[in-house]
Amino acid sequence: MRILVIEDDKKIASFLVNGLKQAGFAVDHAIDGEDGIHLALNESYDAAVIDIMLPKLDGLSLIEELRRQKVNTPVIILSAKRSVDDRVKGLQTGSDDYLTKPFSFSELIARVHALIRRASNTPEPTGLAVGDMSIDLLTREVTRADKTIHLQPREFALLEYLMRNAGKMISKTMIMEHVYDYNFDPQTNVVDVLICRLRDKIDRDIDKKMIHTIRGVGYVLRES
Amino acid sequence: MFLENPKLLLKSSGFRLITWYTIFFIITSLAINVYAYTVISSFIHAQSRKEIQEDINDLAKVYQGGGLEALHQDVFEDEDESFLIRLIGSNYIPIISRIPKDWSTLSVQQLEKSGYPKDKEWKVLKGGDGENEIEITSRRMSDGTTLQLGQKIEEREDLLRRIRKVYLIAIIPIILFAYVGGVFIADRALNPIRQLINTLNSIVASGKIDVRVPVNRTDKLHEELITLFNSMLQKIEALMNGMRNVLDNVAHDLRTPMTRLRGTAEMALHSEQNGDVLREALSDCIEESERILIMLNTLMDISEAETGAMKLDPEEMNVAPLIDDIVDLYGYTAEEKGVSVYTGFPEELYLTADRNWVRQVLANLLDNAIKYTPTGGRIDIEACRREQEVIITVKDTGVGISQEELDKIWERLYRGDESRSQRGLGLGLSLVNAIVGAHRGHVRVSSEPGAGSVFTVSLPV
Repeated sequence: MRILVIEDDKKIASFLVNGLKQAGFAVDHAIDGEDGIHLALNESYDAAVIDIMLPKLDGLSLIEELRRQKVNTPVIILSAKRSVDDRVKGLQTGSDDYLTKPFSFSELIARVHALIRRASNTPEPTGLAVGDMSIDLLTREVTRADKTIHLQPREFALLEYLMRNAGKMISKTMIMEHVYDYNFDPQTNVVDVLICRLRDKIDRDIDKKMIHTIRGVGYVLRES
Repeated sequence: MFLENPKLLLKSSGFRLITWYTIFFIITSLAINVYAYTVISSFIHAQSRKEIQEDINDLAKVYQGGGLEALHQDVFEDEDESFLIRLIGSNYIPIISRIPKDWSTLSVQQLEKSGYPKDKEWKVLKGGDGENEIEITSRRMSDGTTLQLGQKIEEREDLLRRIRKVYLIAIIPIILFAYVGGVFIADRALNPIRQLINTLNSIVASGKIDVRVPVNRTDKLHEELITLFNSMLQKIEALMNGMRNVLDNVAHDLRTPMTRLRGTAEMALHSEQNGDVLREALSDCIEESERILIMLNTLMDISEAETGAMKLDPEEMNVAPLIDDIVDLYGYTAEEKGVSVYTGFPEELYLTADRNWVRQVLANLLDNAIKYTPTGGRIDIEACRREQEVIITVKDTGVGISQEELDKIWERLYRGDESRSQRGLGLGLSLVNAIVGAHRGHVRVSSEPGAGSVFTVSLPV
């Protein structure tokens, strides 16, 4: 997997490049828009992380140019503005996502994975399995260690989302977006409560806990 | 240019105004004077000719009635020497001639040179000294002779000359009057502008925007301009104060969590603990920075809403499904707490508002209600349309709010005694108040400690 990072701030760029490398990606880095578009047009990438404010050529124009040239590399836009620019909204084709600074690095990795998976068009599975737990997406049946677990719709939606991203960090914001389809911050513990209920149903009485909290960052579901 | 040298510009425009006024005034007065003089002088001319005509008619009657002898007698009997009387034969030889003494021979020659007089012809001849002008008219008699009568017009011309002199002298006060009038008018016209410029200058120089231009009530147009300008200043001032308050508040409110963040990091750095403790400290740092971010965002929202800078995206929407969504969102939270949520509202409740912000208002109110309602309690969310408003009430059977705290709950970062044990930033209700205010609605609270609280949001349709 090869990622292009276009970011002019040296410190942010270095932690993006190192972090993505640690996560197992091959990373190319460009420090301005012109350099970036040159790389994006001539090399092949699985995804690109692009800052909006760039010297020489700004991020949005860069992406617009890429799309004009029929380069459909999935893009994550980094923006320092909280209110999302209308043009960014306009760019939200299926292959784009955005994050506002400051962002959690784990969330960035999770979003990069999600984008690449979406873009690769892998056939929709009918079931998911992690460790001794499996869920059937058609019958909505959940079993762990051969025992059937009854989940309410939201709980099931959360579990499905966590299992699809097994081993990857998922932030509260991402859960709000995918499980509740909300794009706003409810400033509440709604997500904590939901996680707590799900935990109660799948991890209680079992030594090997599957849902782990990463403090200040989010949650991850993994085998042990 | 305007700001570079406003005084010069003012001077020149004032000068232009004065000049134009003066020129216009002088031209108008001169035109009136010239017209008056023309009327007077032609009246005087006509009057003196009428006299001469009457005299010559009398003489003609005498000549026609009594012949040469009667005329001769009539002419030389008269002692008045100011008349010239001649009777000329058809061969140009004067039959009777009486010429005033100061009428020199040169003038007689002039008279004779001017050709044979035609009937009823008028001539003006200068006397020998060039001063005694005489106006002459003629009558052709039935026997072929011509009677001539001339009169000195010295007095008449003297009068006209005096009138001209009076007019010429009058020009000086007219010019003065015009100039003074111009200055007065220019001053009146430019004074409000000068005041405006002075105010602007003082604002630019001092940076203080609380000055106002005095309103001049004598002129409707100026009054309007100045009133508009003042209300613009007021708006700018309100906006600037708002922004300043936002900055002050945000800076102040962020200092505490920043201090905590720094403290945690510093403690970890100086401790000689193992990896796990350090990891714990780092997690604390991340959590704290997350909280700072949420706080910053919320503070910005509140401030933007309060100062009118909030970007609203109003649309006509049904608020009923929105309430359902929020109740659904908090379903598990309420269930975990052992609080039941009941709703009662019509299926359609339309209003024009920003969907996301209304959702935020509802979420914050319900979140609060669940937080402060003990297990076994209940929350009622009701909504209805009343005249031009949609009224949403959130009623809980929670701990309630004491009388002293009722006013303070809307303050930023205020946390009541009861709420200190709960999670939260103390910004939820401030945000509700600010958002509802930005929608030109209002939110009220009534509460009975121990029994519960009712929050009522009214939003205009």
